[in-house]
Amino acid sequence: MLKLLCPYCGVEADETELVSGGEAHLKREGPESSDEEFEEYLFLRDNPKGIIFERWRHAMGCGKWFHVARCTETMEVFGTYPAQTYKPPTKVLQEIKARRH
Amino acid sequence: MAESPAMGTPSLKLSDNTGMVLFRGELKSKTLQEGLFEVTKVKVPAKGRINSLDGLSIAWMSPDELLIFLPLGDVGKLIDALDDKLEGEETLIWDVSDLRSVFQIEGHFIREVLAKNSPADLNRDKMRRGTFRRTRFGQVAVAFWFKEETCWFLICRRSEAGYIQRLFEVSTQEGEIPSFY
Ligand SMILES: [Zn+2]
Repeated sequence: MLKLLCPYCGVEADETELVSGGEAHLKREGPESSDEEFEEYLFLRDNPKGIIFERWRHAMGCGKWFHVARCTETMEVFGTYPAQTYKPPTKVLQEIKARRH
Repeated sequence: MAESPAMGTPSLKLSDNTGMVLFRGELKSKTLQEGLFEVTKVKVPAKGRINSLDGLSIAWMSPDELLIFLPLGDVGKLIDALDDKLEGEETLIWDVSDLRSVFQIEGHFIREVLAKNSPADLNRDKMRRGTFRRTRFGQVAVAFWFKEETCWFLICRRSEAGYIQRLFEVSTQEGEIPSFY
């Protein structure tokens, strides 16, 4: 069972209170992009065994989207952070590094 | 003698005289906080909390949303007063009384019945007086809080109130209530 701390309401939400939104930090491709780039943006997602950055929505709670860094192999959660960012915060990256070295 | 679940099965009843006003805006704004306090006499609650005074409560729904509970007959007056006070501010103030249902739950072992149907942490040190917990009950989104251990409140979408009622009945049948807390 996955439990994630919602960065907006501070509630430790259970997986069943959340909705998964897939891979985070995608680069949005516009009309000037190539077909390959646009296809990648729309359809192609990584499915790593290991560290993943994801979007989740606190659907049965505050309703907000947030981001999660976790490991698909060990089910560890490295941290959650608000969605108003293009890349993971330093604190989360440091936490991953600390646990992986 | 310790209480046993058989002693006081909790009961659930619709509280149809409760009005609800949704308030959206930048809750960190001093102007909004002061305006809300002047009109309602209740302080804007901290994250995850509900503040009450004399039949009016304000609950924290999200970083930009509050829910105000008050007698149904006073809803129009409150909305007018807030519109007046916060004119020119960016807000959404909306009567949602018909959108949601409020249940009042009375009796013993209410924590147990909620815990059977929700993943929320209902331990006494986490779910305290003044905590407003949005979560799910069975398969639908709800929020609950309590005035006393034997008097709780739960809100849900009005269209899902029948489901809540039936699930609650099933969960409180004789022999179905555990004793956790
Ligand atoms: Zn939340």
